[in-house]
Amino acid sequence: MPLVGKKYTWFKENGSAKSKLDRVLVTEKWLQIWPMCKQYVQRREVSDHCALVVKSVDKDWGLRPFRTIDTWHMERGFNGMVKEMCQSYVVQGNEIAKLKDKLKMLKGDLKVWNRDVLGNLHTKKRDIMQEIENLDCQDVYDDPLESVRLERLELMSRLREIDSKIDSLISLKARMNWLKYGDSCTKFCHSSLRWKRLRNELKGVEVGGQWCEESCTVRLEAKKLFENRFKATKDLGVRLGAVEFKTLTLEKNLSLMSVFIEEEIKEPVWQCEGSKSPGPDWFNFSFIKKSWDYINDKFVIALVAFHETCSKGFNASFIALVPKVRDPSSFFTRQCSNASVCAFPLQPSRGSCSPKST
Amino acid sequence: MLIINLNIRGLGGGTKARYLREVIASEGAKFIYIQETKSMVFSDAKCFALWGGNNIGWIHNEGENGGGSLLSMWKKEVFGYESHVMGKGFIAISGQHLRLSHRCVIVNVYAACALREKERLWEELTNNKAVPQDPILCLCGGFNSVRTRSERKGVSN
Repeated sequence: MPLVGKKYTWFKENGSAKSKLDRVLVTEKWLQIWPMCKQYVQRREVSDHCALVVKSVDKDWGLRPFRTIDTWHMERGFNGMVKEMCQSYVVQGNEIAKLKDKLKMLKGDLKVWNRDVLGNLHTKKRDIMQEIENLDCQDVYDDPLESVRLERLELMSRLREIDSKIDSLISLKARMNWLKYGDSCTKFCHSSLRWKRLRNELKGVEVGGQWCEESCTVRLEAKKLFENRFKATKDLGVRLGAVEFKTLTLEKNLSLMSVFIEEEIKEPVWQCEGSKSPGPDWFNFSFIKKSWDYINDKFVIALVAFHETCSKGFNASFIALVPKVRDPSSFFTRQCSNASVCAFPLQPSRGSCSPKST
Repeated sequence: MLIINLNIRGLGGGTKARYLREVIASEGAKFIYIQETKSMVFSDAKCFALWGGNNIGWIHNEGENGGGSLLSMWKKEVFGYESHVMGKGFIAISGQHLRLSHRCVIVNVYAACALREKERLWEELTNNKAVPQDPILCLCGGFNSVRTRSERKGVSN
């Protein structure tokens, strides 16, 4: 279980030695019931050991990012539906804003569709199994009718379909490329999923010497940190007068300044792996590839417009905190010796389908 | 499920008892596991005073001459005690989590420093018949050993 607060639980009186002697071990099943269980190391007060507090805290980190689920493509008629959705939107503004708004509306509609139409796969599976069970109980006496036989076949195929969907969903969550579909029932796969969730969560940070765990305070602190980092200063204190820079040839310069063409946009998109996404809260590449036929023109128009005007409004930045050490307790590396958090300001710029710009 | 685990190095004196009461109250503990109590006798009254409430179940393992002594306490409204197994260096309590109605086993462990003692303890724990197959199990305590070198500092060997 992750240890929050300190790294060691026992300290020698004079501080010359310290160890992690006390610990809490739990079984797989325990984590199934209390998935967000963590050990918090308390202040040392009456003994040379620290008290450990085990509690299960599930924090609300605000709005969840949008994620494309590859399982959607297994649904019949999904592509057609997306195409219809895309064409039905009416948007205003310049070309880039249009593309942005369209994709935003598509995201909203897909979220609703996922919840209402696709629904919970496990509940659906239970319903189908119940129907099969009912049929099994009914026709014990006579030969099954033709209609019942067909109904059974239909139900069985739906059951298989849902099973494979659940499998693909789990393997997507576990992010294990080498664990092929069908292996998702293994204990290993489930435990790696749970462990990943537990490990990646930011348990809390130190703010001005105070340990703080509330998600809103942590978020504000992270935002403040990056605001300070990206503040413009008037004088950089660097003089480049005597440095000679390498310059591009005229030919290269022209090729850089030329208008984007579709192949040029398509190639990098196809080079990207399908399960990857250009940023958090965005469509992944396999979605873009599969719906390329009816969104490609929009991308091209938007990118051409970008090439001409370089307008703003396409530059939303996200800060994703990725812990570089186990259980960090502060945002700073140098000031605070034992923890750091690394940040990626992600910019879905240049229509996000052009990795050469990032 | 809120568990507090502490190696208290002797539960005598008012300061330690007061500290314990404070931690229990501030965290809202449901279970508390103490290692090295170093007191020979425990009574209802003493445990109720330690917790600061009287709806408490408790089991004490005396250990050898006060060394390796263990005390497990739990809130009766959260955990329905069913049975326990006690051995040298551990108390395993099994019971029902009343709200979620899951049967779980919680073990309070104190491993002695000597390697042979540790081996014996682990053997006893793994061969424990009271624990079902694939249990909902939690082991807390002082294991007196580290998993990797990075988990300790300033120790010569």
